[in-house]
Amino acid sequence: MSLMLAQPRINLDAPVIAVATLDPSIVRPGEESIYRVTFNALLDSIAWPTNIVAPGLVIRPTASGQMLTMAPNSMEPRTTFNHRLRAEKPGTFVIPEFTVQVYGKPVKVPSATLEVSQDARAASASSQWLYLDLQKTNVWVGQSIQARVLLPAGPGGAVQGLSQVQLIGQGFIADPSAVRQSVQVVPRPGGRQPTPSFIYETALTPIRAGQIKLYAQGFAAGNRFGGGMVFASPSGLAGGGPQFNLLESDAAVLTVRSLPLQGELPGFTGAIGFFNMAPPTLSSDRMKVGEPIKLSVLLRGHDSLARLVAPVPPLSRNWQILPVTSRASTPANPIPAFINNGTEPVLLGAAKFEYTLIPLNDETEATPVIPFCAFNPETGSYYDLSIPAMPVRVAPSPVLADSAALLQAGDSKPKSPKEPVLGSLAVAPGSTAASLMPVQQRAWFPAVQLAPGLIFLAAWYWDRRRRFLEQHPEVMRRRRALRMLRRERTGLRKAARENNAAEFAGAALRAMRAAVAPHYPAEPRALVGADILPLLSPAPGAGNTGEVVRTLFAACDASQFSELNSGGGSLENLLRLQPGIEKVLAELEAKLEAQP
Amino acid sequence: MTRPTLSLTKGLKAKSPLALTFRKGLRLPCRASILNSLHPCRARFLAFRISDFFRTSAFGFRILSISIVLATLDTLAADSPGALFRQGVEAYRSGEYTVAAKAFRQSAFDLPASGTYQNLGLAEWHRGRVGPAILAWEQGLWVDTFNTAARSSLQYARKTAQLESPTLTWYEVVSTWLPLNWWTWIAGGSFWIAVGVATLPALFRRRKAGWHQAVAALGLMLFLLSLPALFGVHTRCKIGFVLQRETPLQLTPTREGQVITLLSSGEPARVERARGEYLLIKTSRGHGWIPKELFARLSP
Repeated sequence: MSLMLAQPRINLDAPVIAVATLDPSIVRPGEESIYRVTFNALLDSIAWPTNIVAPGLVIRPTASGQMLTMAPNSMEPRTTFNHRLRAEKPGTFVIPEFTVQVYGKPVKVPSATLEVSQDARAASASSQWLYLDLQKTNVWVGQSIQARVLLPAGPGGAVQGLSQVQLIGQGFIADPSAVRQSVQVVPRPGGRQPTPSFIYETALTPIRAGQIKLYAQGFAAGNRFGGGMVFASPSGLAGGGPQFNLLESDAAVLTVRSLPLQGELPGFTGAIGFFNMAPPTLSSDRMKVGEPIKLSVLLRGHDSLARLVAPVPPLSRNWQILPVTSRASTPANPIPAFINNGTEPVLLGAAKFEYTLIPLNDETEATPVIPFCAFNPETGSYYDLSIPAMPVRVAPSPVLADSAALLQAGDSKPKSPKEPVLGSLAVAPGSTAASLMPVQQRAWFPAVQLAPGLIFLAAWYWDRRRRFLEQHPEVMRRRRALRMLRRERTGLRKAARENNAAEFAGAALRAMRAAVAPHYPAEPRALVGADILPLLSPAPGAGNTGEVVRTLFAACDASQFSELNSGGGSLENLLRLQPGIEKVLAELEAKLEAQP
Repeated sequence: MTRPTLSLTKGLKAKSPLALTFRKGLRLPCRASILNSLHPCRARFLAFRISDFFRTSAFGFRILSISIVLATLDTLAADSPGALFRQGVEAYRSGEYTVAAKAFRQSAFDLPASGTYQNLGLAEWHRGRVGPAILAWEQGLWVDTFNTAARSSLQYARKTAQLESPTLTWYEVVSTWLPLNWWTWIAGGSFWIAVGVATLPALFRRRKAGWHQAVAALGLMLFLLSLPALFGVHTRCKIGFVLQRETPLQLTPTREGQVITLLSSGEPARVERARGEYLLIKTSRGHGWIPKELFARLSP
């Protein structure tokens, strides 16, 4: 917090001023000039127009950037927008004044005038430019190359430093850890004579195949150099305060190819370049079971090794290999990163992988081979860098008595769950089902489930009826009497057809008695004619029915108890009474049916 | 007295040969294929023996014996499930997995059997069709949950093909303890036994004994315990499996629907609803539509 409070504040209250310059302001037809507009405001606060138009000029936006410059008691933001102008014909061209919104307020950008003349000096001689120099322009994806940004000395031989150097483009990454700054006398790209120049070097790695277009930009910082510097040649430094002009280079094109899939060896982790592996070293070649040792591997190469990924160790039954720790060159452990190879410096690097290996038993006699390979960008093929096996001697580990007992107990348990295997062929179809659809989803299932319910319902109804009849026995007596009446009446008619008078009389008598018995109630055989007569209706013609009953009973009594009529002659007269008897029986039947 | 005669009726569409009628003579409806598979001499011998047999044996024993004979005939028929199963086994042993799969599939279609599905899964697995193999083994377990061979094969296939099992709820796990229809009959039987034991003694004017109440309580307990399993069976019917590799799971049920992800063959999913030729399924990798022909449910 105190560190934050100690920082000078950023001055955002000062009135915003826009300054428009042309570098150079006089050019030849077809040459480019840089139209540079600088604000004392933050980059994000400026709504910069994307399309600036001026008659007779071809204008295209290029670099833009922001930096903070020191002012008394505060830091002042400085934002610059660059555009490249070109005019094909001589003349005077004016970029008119226009308004830009800064912090939500309008700020006027003053007009600028470009003169185009055949007599002008060359633009490259009269203005400051950056030069982007790539080590190679045809590379593979993942191959690191050196990129140099050069700022040649000005007309007086004074060298300026660069601040906030950036490589602008898509499809590559620049390694900030590989930055190196120096002042050297080098020829400018294009074959001109050597000139003292500020050189900014970094490593650049393309990450996609195809054409990659990039350019460099940076603020001219005068005699202020940030970070470590190497002055390889005596040269004058720029005097006075820095201008902080935003400089830029022309675009460079990088052609990037994909790595071939054919011929890839085991253990490829993205290493591209020329690497040499020093013989691996072991912290000790004698160890006990369970005792960790270190396996160190040193790789040297002519490329940056900062992103070199260590090979994945194989699974081993005899070794447990812990995740690798890798270390690139550091000042504390100097592993050369750059050397000056004659006139052209090249990247050099080294990386150290350290594997921790733990022997699991005393059966092993060497460390496992760790497959590894790299890609040779020159030949376009992979080459083997596998870490070889190292001979070791593993001694059994002394085990305490308690540990031995635990190990013995552990051995009795199954070491691993039973592995599933493909089942054998069934020789019989086995359990069957009518369908894969569950029975509860079939249409007939509700009916089947209702059937027991219906049976229980019927049983309940039957029990209820039975209890009712037990409480009302007259119902059963009347029903029984009706059955008997109908049965005897059938016999009566049959006897009448057969002229069997005795049977006729007996059936008629039994029928009447049975039909009358429930009304008293009484035993049917105990009833006489006088018991029947009260039940007959007194309607017209009732006299005849009564007479029929009396005649019937008299004839029956006579035939049963009188010796004079034992031949049955009186009974034969009864056959003539059949209509009357039928009528009596019908009346008695109706009475039985009518009663509740 | 009319002498019973044996007549085998051609062209009847009765599925089972056990459907027989005993009227004036004995009519045995069975498939024409059964007759075709018999040699004439064998048929005459069989008719003689059966008619002779009818004069001397009791009726119930006759029916039982005839059923056994007809079941044997049905098994011998060329296109019966049993014969198809045997054909499939022979083809499998000779390495003709496509023929074996076809025979097992037809056999399982006619008569779903656990062993048939087990063999169908093996044949499909050897043909490299992971989805149909897993579906067959799951259906084998669906029919008979005690089929250890199908269970082992399923675990092996899922481990080999890096596939996951369907995620089951607790009541679905309970439903897997017994075969397909057992829970239904346990629930129905225990319920009606409980009702019967509780009501019948009163109807028949018997004193309610202690064991009546015990049986009723046991029946009611079984009924209540089987209800979650019944529900589990019902919900498991919605489980199905992807049949083909890299089956697209679409955002919409249309031919040009946006593909959410690609499903592996044999991957489990639950059907939520259907629309036209598409099914809305839910998998562990997403929720979307899949063509019907690329998906098969456990219970079609």
